[in-house]
Amino acid sequence: MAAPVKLKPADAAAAGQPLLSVRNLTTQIATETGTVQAVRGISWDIYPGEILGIVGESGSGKSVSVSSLLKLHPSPPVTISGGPITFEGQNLLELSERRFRRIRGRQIAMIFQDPMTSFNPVKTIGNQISEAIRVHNRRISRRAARARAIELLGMVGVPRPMARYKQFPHEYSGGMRQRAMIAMAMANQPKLLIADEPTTALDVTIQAQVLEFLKLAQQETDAALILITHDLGLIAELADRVLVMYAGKIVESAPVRELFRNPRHPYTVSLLESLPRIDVETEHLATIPGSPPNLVYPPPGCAFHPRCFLSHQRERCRTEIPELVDLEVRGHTSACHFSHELDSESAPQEDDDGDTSAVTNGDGGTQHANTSADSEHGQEVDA
Amino acid sequence: MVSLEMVPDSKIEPRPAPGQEVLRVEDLTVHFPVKSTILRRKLGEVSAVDGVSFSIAAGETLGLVGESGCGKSTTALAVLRLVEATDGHIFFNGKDLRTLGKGGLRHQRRNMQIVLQDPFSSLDPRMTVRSIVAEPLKVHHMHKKASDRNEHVNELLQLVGLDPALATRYPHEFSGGQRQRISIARALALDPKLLVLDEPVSSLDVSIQAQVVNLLEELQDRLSLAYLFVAHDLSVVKHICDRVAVMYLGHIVETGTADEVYNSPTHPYTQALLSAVPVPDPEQREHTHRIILKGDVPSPMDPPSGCRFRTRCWKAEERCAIETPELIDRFNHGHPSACHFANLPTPAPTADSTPKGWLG
Ligand SMILES: Nc1ncnc2c1ncn2[C@@H]1O[C@H](COP(=O)(O)OP(=O)(O)OP(=O)(O)O)[C@@H](O)[C@H]1O
Ligand SMILES: Nc1ncnc2c1ncn2[C@@H]1O[C@H](COP(=O)(O)OP(=O)(O)O)[C@@H](O)[C@H]1O
Ligand code: SF4
Ligand code: SF4
Ligand SMILES: [Mg+2]
Ligand SMILES: [Mg+2]
Repeated sequence: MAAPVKLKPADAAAAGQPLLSVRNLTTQIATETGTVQAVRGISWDIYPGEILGIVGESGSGKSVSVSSLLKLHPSPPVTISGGPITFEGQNLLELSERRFRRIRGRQIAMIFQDPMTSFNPVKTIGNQISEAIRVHNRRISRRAARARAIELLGMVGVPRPMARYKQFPHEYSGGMRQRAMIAMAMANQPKLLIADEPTTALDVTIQAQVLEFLKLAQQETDAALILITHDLGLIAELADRVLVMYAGKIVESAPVRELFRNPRHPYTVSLLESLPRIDVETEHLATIPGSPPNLVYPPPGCAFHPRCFLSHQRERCRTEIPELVDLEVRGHTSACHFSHELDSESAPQEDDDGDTSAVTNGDGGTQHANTSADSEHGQEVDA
Repeated sequence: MVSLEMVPDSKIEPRPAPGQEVLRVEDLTVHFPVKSTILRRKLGEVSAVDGVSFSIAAGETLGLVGESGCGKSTTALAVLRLVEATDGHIFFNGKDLRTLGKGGLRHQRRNMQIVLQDPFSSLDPRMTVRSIVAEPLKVHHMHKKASDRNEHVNELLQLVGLDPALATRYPHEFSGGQRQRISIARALALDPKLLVLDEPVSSLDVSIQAQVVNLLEELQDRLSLAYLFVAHDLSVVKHICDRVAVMYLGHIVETGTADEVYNSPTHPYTQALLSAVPVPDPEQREHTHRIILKGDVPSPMDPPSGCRFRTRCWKAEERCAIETPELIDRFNHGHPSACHFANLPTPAPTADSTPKGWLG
């Protein structure tokens, strides 16, 4: 059961220089009802060739944390502070817009959830891809760019790429648009590819097609990939390393196998156990009571404390913000004062049901065990 | 059974015993005309649902799965006659709903309710929770006294795990999961026998989704409700459903108990669908055998001849283009499958093309 964590080649690269290094990134968004603290001081690295998964529930700050890197938002209302954000030796936060444009789309490319909004609806897909090629490489002729664009469309499995080159985004199906988006993102062989929920809008068989091409593209160019998703299945399947976000902070990070085998933050534990699974029989789903906090007023101390099964109303959870600290396994960090109480490697293990020890919460109910019957009416506290 | 006690005796309908058939759908067909807006001429037809049959018993959940556009919602709406069927029969409590007049239909509608995907748009933002849940009670004159009605609403809210003290608030003051509880409370107001749930948890986050799934299971146990559960998330369906019907382009291609369909799928489409579900276990990464289908779903305006799946099927032969496969158990697999060559999973091609040359 507790086999040592296998190192992937990408993991080995972790010994070298990070491709992108983010320190204390903080993003605030001014709204009518107050300032949303969307990202609250997060630090992380991604290494060349690595697939980094970012997972968390809706509103946890996944999208804002990566769009902040590329300065995709107007300021105001968006304010980015902290840093530095180091990409190939330069601090992205201090770059002029002109220099930034040379990086965006060329060295760092992005794939969004809805490709309809990322393509210009009045230009053909083919023209947009050739333009993307020519913008960053003036020496390439119009004709060569066109040939390359057709080749790229064929590579991502768009049928009859010659004819499809001349079509507009609305003439493509959702899955085909998303594959064209991958083609465009890969056109300049970026060093870093950011994919924000790239398959969330797609059906599962189309998702499988798109992911196949995304994986191949990533492997062949050896680009680093940031994969943002709320789907733990996708994370398990693709990521080398994972960041778990909650309420604008990273609450846990680990190599993928380690995270699923030995989750060490109560939020991650609860998330894994509330998942209905196709491969495992589950009698009763565990639940997390309540709902995610309003980030205009994030809870004091540990932001997860109103919903946490491990807190037991302890004072420290309510008053002291837990830092992300290193655990015993290399690369595994957790932001919980009591993460040692969750160490399943040292505790007696049950079989594969994903059912770890039942921990009694403050109300006397077992909140995260598959057997609990009293937690489904979580009192939601945000209303 | 809190809600039952509040319904005046004269209005109570006998509750079917668990296992007793509540709904039977036979050869349901729904075609939508496609009209040209300029010429006001009929251009063709969308074959949204074509010859679909199934039944659901009290206390049982039938899952309807398949990709976007395959006809799940249309089936669900046609069952309630919220969309008119082109052909077929819908027997509810033994009566064919399609032959009922307005009054008869109105009477039966009390017994069948729908819960939709989007808890944000399905609740009137200008109504309080109390008036939202009380509305069906008023429409059907369930109580003479307002105080009785209020008490009934309070019990319904408790039934779905909401504090009655919140009843004076408006939908926007609630989270997605809570709004879905409000929708469920309203659907339960008239003590229905059948709930049609169209993607009821699809827009919710995992942790909230689990709360609502558990609530639905608990309500079913307490009230012997029959559920028609429409979803595209195959893991949720496996968890909540007793039986499953897999749809493709308006047809049911395979049906059986959840165990039969998930553990021994015999239709190539079911096999592809199941193999495509990402499994939240990194240890299984190297062991999953994924079937990657070619192309997209064809247009339901012009479905392929014979087997509708044949344009994407790796097992397709000449016969598939000529002869529409019936939904029957041909080879004693224990459950019906609409494939001439229905068989347990055998290795299928994984990727149909291998892109090369990213480096240009
Ligand atoms: N343009 C905006 N104006 C105001 N608030 C915003 C804006 N964009 C994001 N937010 C807020 O910032 C927080 C984080 O948002 P973000 O979109 O990054 O979350 P997410 O985890 O990616 O969510 P989802 O999975 O739903 O996309 C949320 O509280 C959100 O409401
Ligand atoms: N009112 C309508 N008019 C025309 N076509 C429709 C209408 N409603 C649904 N359809 C078509 O019927 C098919 C099935 O739709 P639907 O039942 O909504 O599928 P699902 O719920 O599985 O996504 C689709 O091709 C859809 O475009
Ligand atoms: S710090 Fe306290 S509230 Fe936060 S996750 Fe750990 S135990 Fe739970
Ligand atoms: S009938 Fe033919 S085309 Fe249809 S699923 Fe079976 S083998 Fe494939
Ligand atoms: Mg997002
Ligand atoms: Mg639908």
